[in-house]
Amino acid sequence: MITFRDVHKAFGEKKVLAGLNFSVHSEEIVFLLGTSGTGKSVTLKHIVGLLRPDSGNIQIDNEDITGYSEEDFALIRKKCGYVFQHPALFDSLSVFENVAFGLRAHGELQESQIQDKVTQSLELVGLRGINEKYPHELSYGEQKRVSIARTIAPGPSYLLFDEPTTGLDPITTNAVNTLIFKLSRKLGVTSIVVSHDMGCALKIADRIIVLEAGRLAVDGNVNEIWSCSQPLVKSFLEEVRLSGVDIKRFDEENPHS
Amino acid sequence: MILSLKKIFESFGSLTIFYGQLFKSFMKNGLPKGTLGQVGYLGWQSLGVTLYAGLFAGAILAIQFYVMLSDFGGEAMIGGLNTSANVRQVAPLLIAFLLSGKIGAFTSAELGTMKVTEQIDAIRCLGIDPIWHVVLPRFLGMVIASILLLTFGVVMSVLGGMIASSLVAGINPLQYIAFIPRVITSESLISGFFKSSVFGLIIGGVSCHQGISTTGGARGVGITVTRSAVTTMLLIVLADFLTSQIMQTALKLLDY
Repeated sequence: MITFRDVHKAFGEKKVLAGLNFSVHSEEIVFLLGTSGTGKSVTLKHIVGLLRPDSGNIQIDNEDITGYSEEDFALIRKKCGYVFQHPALFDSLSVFENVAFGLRAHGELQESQIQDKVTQSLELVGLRGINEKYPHELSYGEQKRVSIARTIAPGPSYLLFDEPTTGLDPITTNAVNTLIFKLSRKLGVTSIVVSHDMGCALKIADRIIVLEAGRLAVDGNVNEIWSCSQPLVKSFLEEVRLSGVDIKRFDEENPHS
Repeated sequence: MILSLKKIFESFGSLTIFYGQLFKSFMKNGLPKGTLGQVGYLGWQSLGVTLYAGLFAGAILAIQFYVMLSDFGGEAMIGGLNTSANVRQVAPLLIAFLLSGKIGAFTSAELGTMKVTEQIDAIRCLGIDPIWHVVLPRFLGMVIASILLLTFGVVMSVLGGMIASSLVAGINPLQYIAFIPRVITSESLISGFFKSSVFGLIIGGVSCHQGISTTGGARGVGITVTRSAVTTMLLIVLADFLTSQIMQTALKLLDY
């Protein structure tokens, strides 16, 4: 369980988080939605200690991580896998070496175990036969998948996705959303997805949290969001209706997944 | 003016803390994997230009000495004077400048790109210390490669001086070499090596620090590379002056 209590964060004069409160429960898929600059990615970065709050309190599994040092965060980061907005693959390493990087650096596994984990992770994201390729030889969608494989390889309990579908075409966007949904269900992990795509959220989220001006504006399940009268949510829903995208739930399409 | 001074002090403080982080990481975790690979890669990449610069630094200075000394019939001293000037001063300085623009700029651009494309954050998010895994191998690689290259460059400058003296002044290479031991002492060699080590630490430290502190996109990387090259050169000039003074004082105290 991840809990934010009255978290404040400012960059100079600009207040990004202004007393943010929310909780994410075990094995949920939670979407953090909001317009640009409302502090969605900043919130996610606080969970893994890439940013530290000015005040307030953050807990992971009832452990207060607010005052943790960089060294303390090493354990938290093993628990929380972070998928960046851009693939952030290591250019000089092959696909296999990218996915194996974290496993090798920790030195806890033998090479044969690392090979098995890398193969499993790549298969989970639907990639085969590209182990020896380098990032520049892959499409952007494939790079995204490799970055997800790299994140899930160490076996985190939480998956944090920072705008995973930004810059992708509709077909790849759908494929990545399917992947987030399936991975979360299959691996039994808790997923937090930062996005501004309400259509995606309505398809796969268990719960949707809408941020506005660094505060929680709305927190509810998909049915509650559909009936919400909050102006920002209404404009998001209007946008979805106008775009005409299919918003059938993934769990209805794949009841056994 | 006060703001600029404040910025300079802040940058100097930040660089000092960075050296402390590197030292702490090395003491805690030891020599990182990949250090030797970095020495080989960076050294091989710059060997050609270093030898070229060393050769011509020695040749140019030899011609200058010939012009000055020939008026007094002192051509026989060219070998000693030229070697002394190159070992102690000219070759290390010139080659250090060259390396700051070659391996220094390369590394700051590489680390800067890794920073702005979130590769450094990705490493942190895998629970791995980027200082030990990414920065320290490059820093140590640059320091060791710089010292080796500076040594090769200085040797080449002696050779360049000898060739130029022979071609321009008609000085027999044996005569050129014969005067070297009278001027070059162990003190000169220690001084040259000390300088090279300090220059290597500056090139490695500044370029890694600038790279890892990069913000913004492509423009940010451009700013980093420029700042890295300029800062390195300014610090090398300052260090050259200070190391010369320190070495002279130290050697006097040791009664060399």
